[in-house]
Amino acid sequence: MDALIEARGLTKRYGRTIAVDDLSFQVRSGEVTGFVGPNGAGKSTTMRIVLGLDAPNRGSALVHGQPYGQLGTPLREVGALLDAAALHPGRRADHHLLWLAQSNDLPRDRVTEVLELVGLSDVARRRAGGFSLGMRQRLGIAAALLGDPPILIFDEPVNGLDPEGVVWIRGFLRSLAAEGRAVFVSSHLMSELEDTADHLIVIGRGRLIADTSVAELLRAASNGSVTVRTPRGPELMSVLAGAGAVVTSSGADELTVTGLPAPRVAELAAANALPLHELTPHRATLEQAYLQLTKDAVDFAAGRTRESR
Amino acid sequence: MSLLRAEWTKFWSVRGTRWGIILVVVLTVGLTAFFAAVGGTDATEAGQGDDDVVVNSLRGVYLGQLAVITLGAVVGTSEYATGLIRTTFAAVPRRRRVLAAKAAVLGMAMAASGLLASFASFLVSQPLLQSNGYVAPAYPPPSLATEPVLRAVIGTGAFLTLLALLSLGVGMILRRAGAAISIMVALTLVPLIAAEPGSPLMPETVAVWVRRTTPIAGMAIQQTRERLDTAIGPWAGLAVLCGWTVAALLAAGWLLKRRDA
Repeated sequence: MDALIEARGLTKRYGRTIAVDDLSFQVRSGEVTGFVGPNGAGKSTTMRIVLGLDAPNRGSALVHGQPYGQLGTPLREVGALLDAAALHPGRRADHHLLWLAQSNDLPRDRVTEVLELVGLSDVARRRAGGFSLGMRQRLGIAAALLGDPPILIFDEPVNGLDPEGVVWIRGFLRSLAAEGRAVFVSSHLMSELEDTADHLIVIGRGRLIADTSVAELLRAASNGSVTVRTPRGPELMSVLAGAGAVVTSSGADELTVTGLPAPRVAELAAANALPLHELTPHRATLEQAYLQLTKDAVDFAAGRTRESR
Repeated sequence: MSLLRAEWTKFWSVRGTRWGIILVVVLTVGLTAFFAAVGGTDATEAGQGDDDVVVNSLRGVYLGQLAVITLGAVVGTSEYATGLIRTTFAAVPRRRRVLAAKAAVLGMAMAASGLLASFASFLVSQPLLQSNGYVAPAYPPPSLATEPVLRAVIGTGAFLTLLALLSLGVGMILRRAGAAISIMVALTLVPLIAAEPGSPLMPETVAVWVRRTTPIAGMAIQQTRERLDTAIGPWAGLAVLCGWTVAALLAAGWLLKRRDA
């Protein structure tokens, strides 16, 4: 898998506030890479730097191994949707796409094709000012897809969409990655990316907190605890404790076991002829994992600020 | 070339710019006709008068330039207002080429409507001026076939075009339409009124320099005769406006490269 976007030590200051602080990461092809952090964490700034719109104070961002500004026809390399509201309200949807296509020497047919792709063919000749937020998002995505680029960057594409639109975008992002594209998508809500992202880059206050796969993050957050239901709780409790587990009674006939993997718990119960009614390895939600991560980061950042004074 | 086509599409696909182009013509011709219809001649029976009858037939630029300034400022700032400028610069990272393409498209559109406005003003106002006493011997009818008259009429189109480009540059520098239009009015309409010949607001020696150095010096291109209140020659005046325009566009280009979009 190639790294299609590579950020190296990006730092961006606005006056005295640091928006992005020594941030490095890679975005690879064939994956949806989620870019997560609370509002104001520096996600949009980072995306603007990658697109050559803002200049970093330090560090560099490479797209396809070169600075964005050196791409000859950028729309063929990178498609981006930063702000769905960034449209001239008086311009027709097809004209909005037409000028974009013309600026990068893309064939006029692409306008019709991408409008079809996002389901806006019927309103192609209507002014964008009358579009709902969902339609604007679709138009923005159509614009990003004009040059059929291998890299796609979406800033909060789910924000403000109705449930139907959310489902549509998620499926769409997955299908783009399945086609082998690198999809870089930001969100301030981890839950939005739960079933969409393969990889996660988590930032807080401009700093990298985690750069990990979704599966790994979940594994780390769940602490390997196991929930067990048995009618013979006290006996199982002493067996498991004897094997080195920490066992707490969490209900009438329910135990929570940490320190032993689920298969080992089942084996010990069987060896002692203790019946189990339930054995569930605990799975943390992505949201929990994220809150744990960002909580640490906030503490860390607060400590660091004091230090620097 | 592809960038020029893109900016061309952008320019014409918005109602505001189409109306702006039409408004320049309507306001210029309308005000010219109004002045020509209400103004009486200063010609004496001896056949003397010091009016510049060609200038009088192009007066409507006083009002037309307001539409021109607004159009230029809007073309320069509307993408900042909507956030579209980021889409533009992501599609075309070479920002100064975007500025050049915008200037070329605005320049072409403005030259066409500016020339239409000036020729129409001249042709519409001639019969009105004549019926108000601007006749031979003091005022022989000016002919478009003669150099100074043709230069004045075509030059008026050039004046409006340069003004639009100056306004575009100021707009790209300030990035807000309101601010850009205010500055442009302060550079044109204000000196035009405050420093007009015989203005009570400043001594004539100062007023002459204001008329020589502000962008309105470009209006001198309309002069076909030397008068007592002439501040600057026609070509020198247009060159002053050219200087303002080039300076504004260069500054805008310099800032485009240095500032975050």
